[in-house]
Amino acid sequence: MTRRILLIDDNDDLREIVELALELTADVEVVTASSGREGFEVAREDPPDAILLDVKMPDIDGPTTLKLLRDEPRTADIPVLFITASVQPSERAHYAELGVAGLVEKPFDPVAIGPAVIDKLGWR
Amino acid sequence: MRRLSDVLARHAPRWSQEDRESTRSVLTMAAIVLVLLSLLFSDPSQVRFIPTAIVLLLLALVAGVSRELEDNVVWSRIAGLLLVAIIAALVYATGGHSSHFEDLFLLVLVFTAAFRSTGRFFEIVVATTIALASPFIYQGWDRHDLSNLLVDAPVWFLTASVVHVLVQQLHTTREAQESAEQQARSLYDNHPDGVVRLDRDGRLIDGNAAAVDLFGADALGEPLSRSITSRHREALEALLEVAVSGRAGSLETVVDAGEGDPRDIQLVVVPISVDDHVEGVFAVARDVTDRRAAERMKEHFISVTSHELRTPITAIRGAIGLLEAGLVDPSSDKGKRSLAIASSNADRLVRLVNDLLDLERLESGRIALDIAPHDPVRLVDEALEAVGPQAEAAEVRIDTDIRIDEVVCDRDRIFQTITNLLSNAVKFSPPEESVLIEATAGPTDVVFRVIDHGRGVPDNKLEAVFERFEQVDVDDARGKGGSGLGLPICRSIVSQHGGAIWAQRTPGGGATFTFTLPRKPPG
Repeated sequence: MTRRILLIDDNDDLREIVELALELTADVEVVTASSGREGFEVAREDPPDAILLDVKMPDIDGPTTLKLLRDEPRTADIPVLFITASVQPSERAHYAELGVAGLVEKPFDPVAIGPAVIDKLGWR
Repeated sequence: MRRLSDVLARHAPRWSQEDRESTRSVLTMAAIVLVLLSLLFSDPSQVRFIPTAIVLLLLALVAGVSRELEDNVVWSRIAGLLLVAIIAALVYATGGHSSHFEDLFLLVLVFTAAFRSTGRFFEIVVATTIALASPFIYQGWDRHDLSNLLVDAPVWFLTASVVHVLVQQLHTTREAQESAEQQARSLYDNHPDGVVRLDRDGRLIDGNAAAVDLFGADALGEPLSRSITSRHREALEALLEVAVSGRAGSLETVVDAGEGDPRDIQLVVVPISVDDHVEGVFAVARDVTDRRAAERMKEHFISVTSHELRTPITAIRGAIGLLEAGLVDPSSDKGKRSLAIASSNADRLVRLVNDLLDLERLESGRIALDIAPHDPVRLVDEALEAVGPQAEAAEVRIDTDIRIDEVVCDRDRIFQTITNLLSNAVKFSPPEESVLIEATAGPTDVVFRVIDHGRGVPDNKLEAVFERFEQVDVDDARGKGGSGLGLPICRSIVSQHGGAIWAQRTPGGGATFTFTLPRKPPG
């Protein structure tokens, strides 16, 4: 059965590229949302198998969205991967501590992203 | 309460033990010479040298033991007079020579002159001369033997000179000491860092004005560790223990006990060692709040910039990677879309890098402004030409109202500013709307306004829009083709001209961006 991944990113171009890359390199279905708030609503309506969450977003950033998801029983147990462009090791360590399944770092190799995500989620 | 200067003064330059020793030696030698002279003459009249010798010996003794004499002018005079009295008593007790009265008179004059001397040797010469001449004045020339005077004179001048040099040295030492004390006091009082003195238990005994500002007056008498954040109390106590054992150290911490905002400080502790014993600890607290804030800002800037740069790079890398791997056919719709994404993000990246470099050059002051008078009407017309195609495409009209004859500025930079503001105004205006650019004369400056009736800027963003990458809406950067650096660049240009720039609501909706330029720019 094809698994479903919710991609939450505020950047239109990145959403398009990541969606395309994931669908082409892994056997997954991708749904997208352009903000933390929208992503949370989508996840609550129809919980996906995993969430790819951009860290830096306006209004509600990645960590805040993660907290919303964790506080909501329907979404509390969905594995989450952060997408981050952070260069500072301290920032990366901080994100890792928030209880996510892993980090996807920008820029990434689009050919490898599907297998990498599957791997980090332990779906292999 | 003992002041810091007292402690410092103990280490100030002073009359050293060696100075004392040498002075004592000189005085003793002089006394011995006088005694030898008396013996050499073997004349009862020369007994008068003996009292002088005794005086010198007593002075030598005093030089070795008394600090009061060094420090107190009144004391030194009283001591001098006392010595004279003792000598007179001794001389009379031995039932000696008839001219004891003269000697006594002479001694009083010489010592008074010498002790109150402030470096004027002339004063002593006059006093000694008067003293030597006085017996003749009082008792008549016939009662005295002139040869006595000739023998006495050099001896008395020598004695007066020795005393004078000694007193002068005392004065110099005292002055040097006072000056050193004042310098130490001044360093302490005026130092911009908070300097505090702690006892061995870490309690704050004394502090300068900066320390009072930093820690508050209530901190006096309390352990210093109570003034800082509880997170670092143990660390400070450990540091103070080390200082009491004689080693200096430092700690970065936060003062949060006062009424004001918490301050970041760099605290250096130094043991106060007196005679190999640590009496307490000096703590010097440097307020580094502003520096820390600047560092945090820089970190934030690096983080934000890296995010802004990596986002288009990620899009380009992703799109090209998919095409390169053959996962997407370049001639398919998805392939064409991928190429378009790569292309537009490459453009964005170029804009970003250009604007970042421009802003960096502006803010580091490496761009010298070419200030000259220009025609504002022409300047605005050229800006209108530049944004014309954009305005046409957006179906936005631009009106002008220029009421000044001259603007003194760097033409290219103000053109850039006006173009940027007009472009923003057009970008955020709905079709069929109009934008107005006006220029008026203020008392000391010219005022430009770009007024639009678009979606406006929320109140909480009116100042933030001038920060890097702080667009009102995140999609502005992509959808509206901005780099997020246009307004920061405008602000940098205007402030380098000595002007100001700000944003307001347009009454009835929209945004008004105003900037001023002084009629006579700085420099």
